[in-house]
Amino acid sequence: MPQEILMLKYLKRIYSSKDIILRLAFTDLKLRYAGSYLGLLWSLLEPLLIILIYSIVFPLILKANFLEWFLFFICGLIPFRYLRKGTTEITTCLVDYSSILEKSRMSAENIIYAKAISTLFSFLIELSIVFVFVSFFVQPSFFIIFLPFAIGISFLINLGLGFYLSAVYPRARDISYILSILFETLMFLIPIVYRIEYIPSLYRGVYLLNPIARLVYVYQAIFLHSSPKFTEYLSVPKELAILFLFSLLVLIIGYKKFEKEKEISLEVI
Amino acid sequence: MSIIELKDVWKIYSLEREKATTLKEKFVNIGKKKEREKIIALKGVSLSIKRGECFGVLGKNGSGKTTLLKIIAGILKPNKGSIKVEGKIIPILTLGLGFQRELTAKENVYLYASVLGLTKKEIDENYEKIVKFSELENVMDVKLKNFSDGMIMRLSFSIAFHVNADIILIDEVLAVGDAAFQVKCLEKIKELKERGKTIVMVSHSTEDIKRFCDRALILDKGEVIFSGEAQKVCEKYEEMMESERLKRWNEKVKEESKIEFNAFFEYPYVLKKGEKCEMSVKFGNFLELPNLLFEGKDNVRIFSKKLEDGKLIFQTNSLPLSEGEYNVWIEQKNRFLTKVPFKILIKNSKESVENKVYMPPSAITPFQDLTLVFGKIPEKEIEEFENGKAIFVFENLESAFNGENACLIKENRILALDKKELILEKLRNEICQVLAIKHFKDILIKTELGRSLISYERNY
Repeated sequence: MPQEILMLKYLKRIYSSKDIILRLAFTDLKLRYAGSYLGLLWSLLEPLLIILIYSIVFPLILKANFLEWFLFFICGLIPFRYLRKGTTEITTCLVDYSSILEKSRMSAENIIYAKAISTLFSFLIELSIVFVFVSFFVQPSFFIIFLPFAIGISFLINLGLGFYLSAVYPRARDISYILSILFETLMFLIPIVYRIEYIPSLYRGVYLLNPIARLVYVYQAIFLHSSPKFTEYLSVPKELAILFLFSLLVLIIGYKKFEKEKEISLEVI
Repeated sequence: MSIIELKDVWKIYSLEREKATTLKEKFVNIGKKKEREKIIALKGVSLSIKRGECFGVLGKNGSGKTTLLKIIAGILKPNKGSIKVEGKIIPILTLGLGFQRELTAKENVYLYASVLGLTKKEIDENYEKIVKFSELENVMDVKLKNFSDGMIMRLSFSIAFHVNADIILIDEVLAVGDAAFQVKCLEKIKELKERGKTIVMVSHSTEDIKRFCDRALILDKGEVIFSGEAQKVCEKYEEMMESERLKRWNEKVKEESKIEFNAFFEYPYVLKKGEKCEMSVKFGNFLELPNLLFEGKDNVRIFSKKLEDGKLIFQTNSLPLSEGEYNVWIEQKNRFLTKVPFKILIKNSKESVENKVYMPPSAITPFQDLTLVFGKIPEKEIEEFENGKAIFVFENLESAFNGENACLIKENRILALDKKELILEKLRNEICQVLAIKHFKDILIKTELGRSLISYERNY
């Protein structure tokens, strides 16, 4: 019971500071592209260029059917990019906004929420790339109703990781370097450039211990379910449930750490 | 009925002496004990502020003023002690906090006001007033990067003052903006005060505190050393600052200050009406620019205008002095920096249009006495030799006068080393002789409070 009340209190607090959160998120988005000629277009161009480069190199190596590979690739890459970009950006945001935090009563959470929202927004824009390509080649299936849940789970994981890392970052700035290496490695530990079938079924159980691999698989399932090439290994609703629990766990651990470290971290920045 | 109440509040910053922020540094420092430097920012501060009161906080830099405000605002938590604050509180610690140059003025208004804690609805309601107060109606859709600093200040002020709060904390932000806008801001503060807002104000300027505050306190090294009625506290603070300043000035003077007084007069020099007369004084460091005081029948002050390469230049287009003898002092805030005045004689010429300013031999006399007397080790006391100029340096006048022996040095050569009286005699004759035949081009006097450096240069 007290847990529930506590959660209600958190939600109330977030609601009461929704104006500042949205304002900061808006500012963040606007500043991201301010002063550039192409503006918001960059958020499409950048992933498109990366997709182009990978599409030239990887099908050659993997000798796979191009189109088939390509669709799986973009369905995995874009959600993964969100996780990577979101986490790395949130990690440094307390330091980035230190001047405001030092001199106003605004609580540090607001900046984390704002950053999470602004990265979510970028993700939604990038997701339009997936929509365009997929709808071009694959009949949409009813699985699309699972998409909001998947996005929500990604958001929660992102937020949880963000809470944890941003609280630790001011005192251990190596984190940003370690993160970039970790994400670079992680990209090949989840089914993005190859499909899940490439993993021998003997090891697949171990492979799927990685929740991010499951998350990416869920995205691929949602978009490509009706594709004849798609084989259903895991049931999507069940996966979503597991992932939701996982994301909540991440969020709670992250938030607890954040609460604990906040004071000290704010003094360091 | 106190709205803010602090009881025995302590704030200690503990800073790691060597901040190890990367893993490698941490690794290297493993086993070493973490050295933590403790900085005590507040030492048991207690205060209570009543509703509707304006409270001033005075103190030097680093005395803990801002920390105190941050603690009242709830940005920092104290290590010890209790705080009780009732009502909505808005800290204005910096102007334009979070302003983004790439956003328009309007967007910045919303951003800054949000950061200060306003909801969107509140900002919408106050937006018109904010814009009107800032007098920037026409440029609200322009990006902030095109604004001048003054405009940015105005905008941030307007936002800060339209925040609806019970308690407003202001940290030394009043000293910006042009005079007219400052007046507007001060009026706004008055208005806020009249509307029953509680204001806590940190300032260096006792003027502002006197004008608005009912009560005030002085912080020094984290401790409240004086508190009470604003007027009294301000007087006390001014007193403290003055004595501090004097102390600092004296130290500085001892360490590094030199005053060179150049008067570019030929003898006798006729200053034509409307002609520029230039004098310069060379200092090491000083806190305030000194003046030249002509003391005599009329007292005239010439204020120094500019500072070039540590040289202070006095410029005046006219010297409205009537006939007579004048003492010229270098003074600063009614204190003379020179021990011996520089004398000039003003004589109205027969043509009556021109003022003759010239130095009679008598004007040189005080310098004469000083210039030629040396202590025991002349080598040490000679500071420069160049281009036929000899500059004589003394530890102080007394020691110079007390020395039994003296020497006369010219062009890096010791001309004479003898009993003081004899040397003086010799030199007096020489100067008089020189004066009789040639003009003095430059007279260079170095003098300062504790130590007089008197010298003269001669070009034949």
